[in-house]
Amino acid sequence: MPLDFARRRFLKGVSTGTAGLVLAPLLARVSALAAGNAAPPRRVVFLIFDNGFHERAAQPVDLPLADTAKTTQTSLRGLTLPFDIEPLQPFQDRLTVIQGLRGHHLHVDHGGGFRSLSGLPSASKYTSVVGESIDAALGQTQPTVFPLLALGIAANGRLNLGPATSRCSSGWGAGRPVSSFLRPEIAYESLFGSVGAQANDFARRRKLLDFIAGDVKRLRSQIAGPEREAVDQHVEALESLFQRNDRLADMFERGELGEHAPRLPEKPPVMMTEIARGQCEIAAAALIAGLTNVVTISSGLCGLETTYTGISNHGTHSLGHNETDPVLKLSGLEVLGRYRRFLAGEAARLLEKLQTVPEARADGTPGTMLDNTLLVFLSDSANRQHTHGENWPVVLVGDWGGRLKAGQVVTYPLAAGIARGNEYANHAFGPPASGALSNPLINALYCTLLHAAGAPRDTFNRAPGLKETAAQFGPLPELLG
Amino acid sequence: MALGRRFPAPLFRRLATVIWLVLCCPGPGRVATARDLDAFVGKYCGDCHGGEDPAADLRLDTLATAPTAPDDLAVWKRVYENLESRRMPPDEAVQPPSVERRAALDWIRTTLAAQGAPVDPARGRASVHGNWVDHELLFSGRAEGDSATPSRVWRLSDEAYEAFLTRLGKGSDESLRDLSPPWQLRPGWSFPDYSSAHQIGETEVEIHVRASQRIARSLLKNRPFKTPPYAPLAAVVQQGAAATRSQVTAAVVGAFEVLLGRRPDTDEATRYTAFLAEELRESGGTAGMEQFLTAVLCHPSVLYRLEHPPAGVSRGLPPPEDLARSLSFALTDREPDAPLAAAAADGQLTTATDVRRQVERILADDTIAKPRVVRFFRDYFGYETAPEVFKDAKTQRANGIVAWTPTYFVTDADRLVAWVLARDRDVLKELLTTNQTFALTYDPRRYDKDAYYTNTRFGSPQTPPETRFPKEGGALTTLAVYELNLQTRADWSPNVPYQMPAEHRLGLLTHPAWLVAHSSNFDNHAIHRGRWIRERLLGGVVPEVPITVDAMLPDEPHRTLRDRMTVTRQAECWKCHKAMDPLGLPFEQFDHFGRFRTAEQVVDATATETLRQQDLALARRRGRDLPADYVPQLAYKKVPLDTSGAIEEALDPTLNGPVRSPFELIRRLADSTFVEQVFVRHAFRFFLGRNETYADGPTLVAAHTAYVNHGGSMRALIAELLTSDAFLQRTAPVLSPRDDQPTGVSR
Repeated sequence: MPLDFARRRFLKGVSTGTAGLVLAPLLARVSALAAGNAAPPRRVVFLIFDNGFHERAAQPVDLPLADTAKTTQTSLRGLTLPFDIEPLQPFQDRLTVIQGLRGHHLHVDHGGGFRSLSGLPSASKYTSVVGESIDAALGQTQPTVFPLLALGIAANGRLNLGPATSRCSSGWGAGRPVSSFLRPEIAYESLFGSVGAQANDFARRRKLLDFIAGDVKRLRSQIAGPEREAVDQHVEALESLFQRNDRLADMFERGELGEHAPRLPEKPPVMMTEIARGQCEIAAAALIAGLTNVVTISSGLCGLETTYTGISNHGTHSLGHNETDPVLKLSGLEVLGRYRRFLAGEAARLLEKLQTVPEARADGTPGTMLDNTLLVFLSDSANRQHTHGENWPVVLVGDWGGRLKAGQVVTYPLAAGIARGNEYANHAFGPPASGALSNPLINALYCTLLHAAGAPRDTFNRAPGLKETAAQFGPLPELLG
Repeated sequence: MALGRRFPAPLFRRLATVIWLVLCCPGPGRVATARDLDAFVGKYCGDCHGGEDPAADLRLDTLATAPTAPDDLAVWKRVYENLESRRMPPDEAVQPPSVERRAALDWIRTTLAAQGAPVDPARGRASVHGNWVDHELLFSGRAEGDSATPSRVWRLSDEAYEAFLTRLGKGSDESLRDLSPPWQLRPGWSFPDYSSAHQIGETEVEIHVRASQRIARSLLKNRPFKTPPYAPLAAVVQQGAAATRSQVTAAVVGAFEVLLGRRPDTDEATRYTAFLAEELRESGGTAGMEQFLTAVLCHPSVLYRLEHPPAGVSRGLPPPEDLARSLSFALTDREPDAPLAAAAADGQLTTATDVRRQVERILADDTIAKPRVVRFFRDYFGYETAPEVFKDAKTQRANGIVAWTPTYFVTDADRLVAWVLARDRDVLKELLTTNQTFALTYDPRRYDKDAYYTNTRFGSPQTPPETRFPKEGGALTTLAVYELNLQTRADWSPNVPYQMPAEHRLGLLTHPAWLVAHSSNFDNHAIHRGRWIRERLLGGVVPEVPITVDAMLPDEPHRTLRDRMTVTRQAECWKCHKAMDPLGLPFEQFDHFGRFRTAEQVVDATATETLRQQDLALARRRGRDLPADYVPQLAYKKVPLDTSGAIEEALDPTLNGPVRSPFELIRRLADSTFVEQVFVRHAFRFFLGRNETYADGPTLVAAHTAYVNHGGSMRALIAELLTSDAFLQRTAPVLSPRDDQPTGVSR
């Protein structure tokens, strides 16, 4: 049965069930969608990776990066994508390459941690969450079972499976980090673990969660002040799980979980390539099942926290320094190219899956889920491992039903290859491009996404004390449709 | 820009602080108001940021104290950050006393939060901010107040959670093998395991619930339910819905004892008995028991240390079982051992004397592993991250490094710490001045299997004594860094310390673990080293890097690090860097691999250019040019070493003065009572899991006195901390009706 019908039937049904009370705000929105009275969701997948996105890895091969004093927009039609993102070629008509955004205010050398997706500087990039990240902001605009599904890729190169979660990329707001699932089998269990369940299991789990909450609430009454934040978070977590259980129960009854659940390998994946594939499959399934509209997949946990096993066994950090992989006999930059190409390929597979699911476009014309989905493909450390954030290349795939202009290369004023001030450098990255100081910051891209998602703001996370003007944080007219 | 009055003399400052405390400090029950803030701004900011021509075009005297407009909120955020980081008021201006600054920060933070523009609430609570509390006042004998810690929960460390999994079958049941802690604490500049740090969120709770279900199934399948204390559970499983009330009650008590190490209180017994009885009725024996065991495993005490006084008591010790867990986790990261649990059960853990008896027992018993004590030193010195500081192959080759295995440095430093702790004499001074190190030790639980393999093969009793160290694995490089002349199996033992050259090494600050952890990819990190000394030994405060600063040194390897660091001498940089750079630069005595050196190696620009010209000539002979990404082969040369530095603006002025070497610097610090006190403050933070307040002054004085009176004993220091009111006493909250509102989980 086409998902469109299945989803409509499910949504109409669930709005009259018990979960309707719990999920009233959400259901009001999705019921309207089912009746064709609301805009389709603005789905977004952030695929963020470590070691930088070198400008030449994003630039069409027949459009060499050149010095430019003005912002330019060039059609991608007829151009050839570079090796690193070539797997995205089937989506070229809806693809946008952006060069010249800046992130010098974030200090994302070696990876930006929470800074990269928030655009906010902070005391510690891995522990200080000083504001909302863009994925969380987009997730809040269109609540689902998982307002934000955060997945991480952190192969440690050993059989040891490593930790279950990490906090690295996203935050709901100051002091409120989002944890990423690091292991596909655990993410699967959380999203689709009920596939083989009995109907009664949801009721039992509901009862269990309710009972557990009783102990935590009892504890809550004995603590006050800042010390109670921890207990409050725990109570909120249980409340959210409780609501999620109800929603999953209804989806289970309609067979939707089983219909879209991916198949996991028998053994937990260990290699980076396996983990990345598993996480992308889970992301696609979660989007199609309607469990979420916003996914962030962070490879390297915004800080060189993965190895590239399945592609190279050489040290991740070494590769970013352009050391040669002695087994592959490839330079580090060439291996990074393969890594990015692999991730682009997995992203393409994800998009292809969405393309098979019918869904009306924003204007009501027939389309697929892909028409309402955006891929944001970028590195957490801008253009290279050792970066000053002088240029932050980004590739977008999707136009959100025409709300974003696509099929173009947007280049902000740029010195394409600065004079090599350091001829004695211990490592070769190729000459970096450098956007003009007055160029928009990475925040401006995020602000643009909020505008396109129908939740406009003047700026996104404009930290006080910066020299940049408000305009550098605002929406980008070159991208808004 | 007007700078206000000159910075007052230290004596005047102390006097002003005391006067302000008496007259102005918003004490308990009185919080700063908008009017207080007006006065604060007028007094400390108005000279520069007022009037028609304000500094930095920022006028604060007219800024709304009830801000709602985004621009006003942004300015208050900026004020907050500058005030918090102590960038403002500038050094030359009158400084607000710590308590006054804190009151102003509290007001701004609360106001911003009320307007939906919160600053990171965890910022001020991180251990790195502990030094904001005035040191002199803390140790003056005048600081007073109730040092009891407010009731709280403290999430277990990931290591403690791993121990929980192991205790319940992870090691023995294949079906549990893939379980792992739902969270991980990352090493950072602040102590990662703080009570306020890393609060458990939705993802972690869910993973724990699912893990609990699997453990419950495993218990039902594998445990000998026929024997006590499982027998009551087995009876209920067998009886199912037919189980009697007394059988169900016994099962609840048994499950609590087995899984939580205590009996349920009255309320818990009632709730859990009803829950189990209902589950048995609805789902039968096995499924009902599984659900019940899952619920017990999700009890908050599995995830947290619970620290609050008994119900109905406004201030007091936590219930004995909870107190026993707090003590045990503070030292061992494990549940209480049998004697401690028995003491709690027998009413022998109700006074500070009872607690001291247990603490001293655990500390004196070498058979009880106390990883938290070593962890304190690892976090305090910050050497654990040495393996994370990447040195690329080219840099290694350029420096003659054959195989680089910095994990050895960390495990060797750990072993050194444990060895010094076992002797327990002048612990801090010994760690700051010993020239000993262990060599090539390993910790298979934490580090690379390669290190483990190399050592077990080499360290095996079957290994012939004449066997020489293998070339692979980094052992020889490690020994060379230590300057240890160990050649064969017969020379070496992982269990004894070795003397590094006394003229080259003096304590952990010259140990490769610390040096490498505080280095960068290509250089020493004099700034980090200086900051570490400023904060961890001198009790000073270093502001965070301003967000407008792109904090990078020039990448010019033909210049020495000291030379390149002259960029920090610009006025706007130097006001912060003067607190760090002169303290870190003496450690130029060592290269960034932790090796002692007498000259510094830099790129020889002339020789490198010659090589480039040769390559260019060769390319041209072949009709080509140099490729765009050509990087010349680098030639190096030695230049004289400068290891001078200084202690400046120490809170204890007797420490001030220039130093010629790291050794002179370290000796001065190691002999200082003031430095000892700063060390005690950090121990307080680690073992209490929170920053000190003025009310903790007497506890700190007592802890320092105990340390000194017992000859620099860490055991005495820890015992004093763990028997203090700050550790033992908890105050119950005064809850408003709003605080008690249900959250809507139950329906």
